[in-house]
Amino acid sequence: MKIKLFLVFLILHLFVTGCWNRVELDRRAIVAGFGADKAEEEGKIQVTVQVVDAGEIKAIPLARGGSMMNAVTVYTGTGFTAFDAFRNLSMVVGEKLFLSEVRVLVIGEELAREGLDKVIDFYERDHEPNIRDYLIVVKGGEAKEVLETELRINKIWAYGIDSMVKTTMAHSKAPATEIIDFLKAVESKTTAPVATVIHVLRKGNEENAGEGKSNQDGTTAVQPKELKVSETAVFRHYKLTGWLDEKESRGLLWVTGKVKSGIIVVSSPEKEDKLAAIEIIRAKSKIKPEITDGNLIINIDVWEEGNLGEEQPDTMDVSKPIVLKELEEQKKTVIEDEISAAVIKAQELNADIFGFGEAVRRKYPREWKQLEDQWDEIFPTLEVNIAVDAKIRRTGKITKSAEPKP
Amino acid sequence: MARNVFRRLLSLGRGREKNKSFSTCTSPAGTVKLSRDLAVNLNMIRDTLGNSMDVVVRELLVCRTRVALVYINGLINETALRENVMRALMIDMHNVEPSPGSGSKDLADSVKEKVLSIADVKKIGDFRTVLDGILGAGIVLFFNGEDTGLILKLPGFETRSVEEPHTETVVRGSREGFVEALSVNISMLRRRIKSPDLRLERMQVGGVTQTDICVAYIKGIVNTKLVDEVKKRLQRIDIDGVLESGYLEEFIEDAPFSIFQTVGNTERPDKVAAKLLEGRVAIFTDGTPIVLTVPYLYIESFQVSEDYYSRYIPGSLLRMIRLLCVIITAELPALYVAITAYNPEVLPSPLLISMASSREGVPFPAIGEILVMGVFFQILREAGVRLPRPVGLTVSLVGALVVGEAVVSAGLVSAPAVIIIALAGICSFVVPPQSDTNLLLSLFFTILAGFAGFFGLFLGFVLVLAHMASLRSFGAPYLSPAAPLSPGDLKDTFIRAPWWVMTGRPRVTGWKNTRRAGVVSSPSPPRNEEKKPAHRYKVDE
Repeated sequence: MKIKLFLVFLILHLFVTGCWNRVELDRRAIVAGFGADKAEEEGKIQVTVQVVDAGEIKAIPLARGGSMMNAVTVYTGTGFTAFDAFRNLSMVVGEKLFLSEVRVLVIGEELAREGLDKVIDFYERDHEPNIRDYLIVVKGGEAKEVLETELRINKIWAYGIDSMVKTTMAHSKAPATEIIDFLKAVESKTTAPVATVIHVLRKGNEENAGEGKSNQDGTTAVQPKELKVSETAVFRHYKLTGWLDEKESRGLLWVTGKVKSGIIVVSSPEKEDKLAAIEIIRAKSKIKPEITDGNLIINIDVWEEGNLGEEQPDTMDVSKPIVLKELEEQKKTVIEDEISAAVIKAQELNADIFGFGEAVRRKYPREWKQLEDQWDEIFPTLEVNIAVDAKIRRTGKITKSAEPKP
Repeated sequence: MARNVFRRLLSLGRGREKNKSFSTCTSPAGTVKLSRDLAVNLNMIRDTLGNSMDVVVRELLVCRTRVALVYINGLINETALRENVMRALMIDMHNVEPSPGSGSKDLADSVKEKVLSIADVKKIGDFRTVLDGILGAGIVLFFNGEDTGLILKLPGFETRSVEEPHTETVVRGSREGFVEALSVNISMLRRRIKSPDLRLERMQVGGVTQTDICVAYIKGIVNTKLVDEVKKRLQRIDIDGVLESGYLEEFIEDAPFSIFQTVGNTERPDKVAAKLLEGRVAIFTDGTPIVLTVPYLYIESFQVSEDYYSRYIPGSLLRMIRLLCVIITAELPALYVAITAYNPEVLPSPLLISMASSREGVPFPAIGEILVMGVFFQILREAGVRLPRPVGLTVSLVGALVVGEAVVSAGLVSAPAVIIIALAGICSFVVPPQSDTNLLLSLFFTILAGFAGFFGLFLGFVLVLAHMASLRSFGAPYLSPAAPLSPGDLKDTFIRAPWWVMTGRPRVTGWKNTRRAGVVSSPSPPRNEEKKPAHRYKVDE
C-alpha cells in the first residue's frame, strides 16, 4: 500500500513540473550550419548560423517555377565567447536556436590559427550540438563567407556542404573529419589533429564577390561564389599550423587507411605520352613501428586494389598480363610518392598527423615512456619505410577501345 | 487507492440489503414432495408458475387414470410431443400387455418402460425437480394416485444456426462459431475432442435466471487445482442474473482493477479445443456464443487460430507484425508528442525539417493536436460500429475524407498528427482483444509525454510493464513465458514454431502433462531406403 501511495506521488510529480523544457517544434529555429570567426573587435568571437526556414522547404521546387533555391537565413553575431555570441544571436532571430541538426562546424582561418579551443568546448559541453558533425576550416577566408554561399545541391546550404564533405570519399583528396576525430587527436599527446578544408572560389568580378551587401531584411545578399572541399588543415593541439595540398592529403589518407575511392593517373606502359586512369576500389594500411638497436623505424604497409577505369585510345593492350603488371608498378610508384610527400610535409610541420606515436605506444609501451617526451624531436627525423602492394583486378567492360579503321 | 474507493462503494451497496442473497424464486417449493392427488400437484404448479400464458397443462385419461402433462409452450419440440408422447399415451397405450395399472407396478413405470419412445425420461418425486424440469425445456407427466411423476426432456426451442464467427474470421480454418444454445456449443466441442477425458461439468448461476454454465477441461492434462479454483470462484457468484459470459468474467477475474483482461474469450470451438489441449479450462455460458478460457496470458491476445493452421514462417511474421502494431497503437502518438515538443534531436534532419514545416502555423501544441484527433477518431469509430452498414459507410467517409482532409488544409492540425492518429487507429484493430486496452494506454502515455517528454513516456512505460508483470491469471504469471522466462515456451510467442518442434505443452498451463508430440517427428524425406531410379517415369519395355 505504501508503495502504491509512493507511486501515486511519483506520478503527481510529473504534473507539477508544468511541461518542463517544452518547446514546440515550430517554436524552434533549426540551425543547419554553425560557423565561427575571429570578430573584428579584439578578443571577441563572431558566430554565424544558418537557420532553416521550415516553411520554404514545402515551397514549389525551382523546376516547377518555384522560388529560388534557398530555405535558409544566415545570421551573424558577436560575443566574448562562442556560447555568448550564439545566445546573442537569439536577440536577432527571435526564436530559440536549436543546434541538434547542425551538420557542419565551419571555422575561419584566422580563428583556427588562434586556436579552436575557443569554440570546441562549447560544442562539446552543450547537450544540443553533435560531436559527429564535420569540422571544416576555411582556407583564406571566413566561416561567414562560406555559410553565406548559395549552393545548388541543397536548399539548405549547410547540408550541401555536408554532402560535399561526404563526397570526399569519391576522390580522397581531403579527409572527412568529424569533431570527435579532432578531439581524439587532441586528447592523444602526440597525434596532430587534422580538419577538412573548404575554399571559397569567387566567380566573375573578384572585387564584388564576397563582400555581401546587406538587404533591407537584414539578410545578406549572396554573390556568385562557389565552394570547394579539398586539402587538409593540420593542427598542433588546438592551433592551425599548416596545410596539406591535395596530393599530400591523399597521402595522409593512404596511411590512415581512409582512402575509399579515387582516381590514380599513370602514364601508359607502352606509350609514354599517353595516360591511363585507375580507380581505387579498396585500400588497407598498417603502421608497423620497429625498434632495432635503439633506432625507431616506422613501416607503412599499404595494400590497394583498383580497376582500370580509362585509357587514352590505342595506348596499350590490357589483355597482356605484362601490361597490367607494369600498370601496377606505376600505380605503386604514384601511391608511394603521395605517401612520402605527406610524410615529408608532416615532418616539416612537425605534426604527427598519422598517429605514428600512438602506434609506437601500442607496440612498445615500455620504450614509449621515454620516447613520448622527446617525440617533437624524434618525429621530424623519423625513418619511414613505405611498402605498397597495388593490384589491378578488372579492366572494365572492354579490353580495347574502339579504333578507327586505317 | 482505486481499490479502496471501489470497496467503499461496494460496502455502501451492501449496507442497504444486508445478507439478502438473490437466491432462486420466491416459491414455497423447497423440498416439497409430490402428492398422490393430481389436483394438489396441479394446483401447486399453478401457484408457483402463476398464470403465465406459456404454461400448458393438458389433462387426459390413460387406462382409467387421470394423467396431466405440464410443459412450457415454445421450449419443447411440438412434433415429438405430438408423435411420441400424446399418440403413445392415447393410442398405443391400449396395446400394451399386460394392461398397465394392473399388477404391482406403477403406471409411471410402465409408461416409462413400455410406452414412451423418448430417450431422456426420468422419474421424479419432489417438487423442486419438477419445476426445474419444466423450466428447462421438459415435459412433466403427473399420474393421479401416484407420488412420482415423469420428466421427458424434449427441447425444441428456436436457435440461431451455426455461422462463421463475426469477431474471429479466418481464411484458413473452421468456419464454425458458437451459438447461443449451450447444448449445441458443447456438441461442437465434443465433436473436436473425442476423448473420454473431456469433462463437461454443469453448474447453474444466477438466482433468477438460473443460467446453465459448463466448465470444460480435459482430465489428465489440466491441473486439478485449477479446475477446483475455477469452480470455487464460480460458486461464489451470487447475482440475480447472468445474461452473458461477461458477467462471469468480472466475477472471477484476478485483477478487477486492471485495464488488462485476465480472462480470455472466444467464439471459436477450435480455439477452445486448442486451449483445453494446453491445459486450460473453458467456461461455457448458456445464451451467449462467447466462451471464457482461463488462465489467460498477455501473449494469447497475439495468438490467432489461423497462425496454427497456415504455414509457420508467415505465421511467425504476422505475430511480429501484431506486436509491432500494439506498440504503434500504444506508443506512437506519445512518441510524436515527446519528439515534437521536447526531444526533436532524435529525428534525422530531413524528417525533422519536413515535420517542422508541416507544423508551421498550427495553432495547437502537439499534445492538443493528438488528443483532439484521437478523440475525433474514437467518435468516428463509435459512430460507425453500431450503425447499419450503409449509414456507417457514410459516417466513415465524411469523417475520414472530409473532416480529416479539411482539418489539415485549414491548418488546424498538422498532417503528421493526422497520419499518426490514423496509423495508430488502424493498428489498434490488428489485435482485437487488446484494442481497448491499447487506446487507454495510448492516452496515458500521450499525457505523460505531454508533460515530460521522453522522460514521462518511459516512466509510464516502466509503470505499465511493472503492472503487467505483477498480474496473474488463475495462478499463471500474466507476462509468461517472457517475464518469468521459460525458454521452451518462447516457441509460441513472438514466433510460431512448426508443430513438430512444439513437442511440449506450455509449461505454465500444461505442466501436469507436458508431452504433446513425438520428440523426433520432424518431416524428412525417406533416408534408409533404396535409391530411387533416376528416371522414375520411364516405361519398361
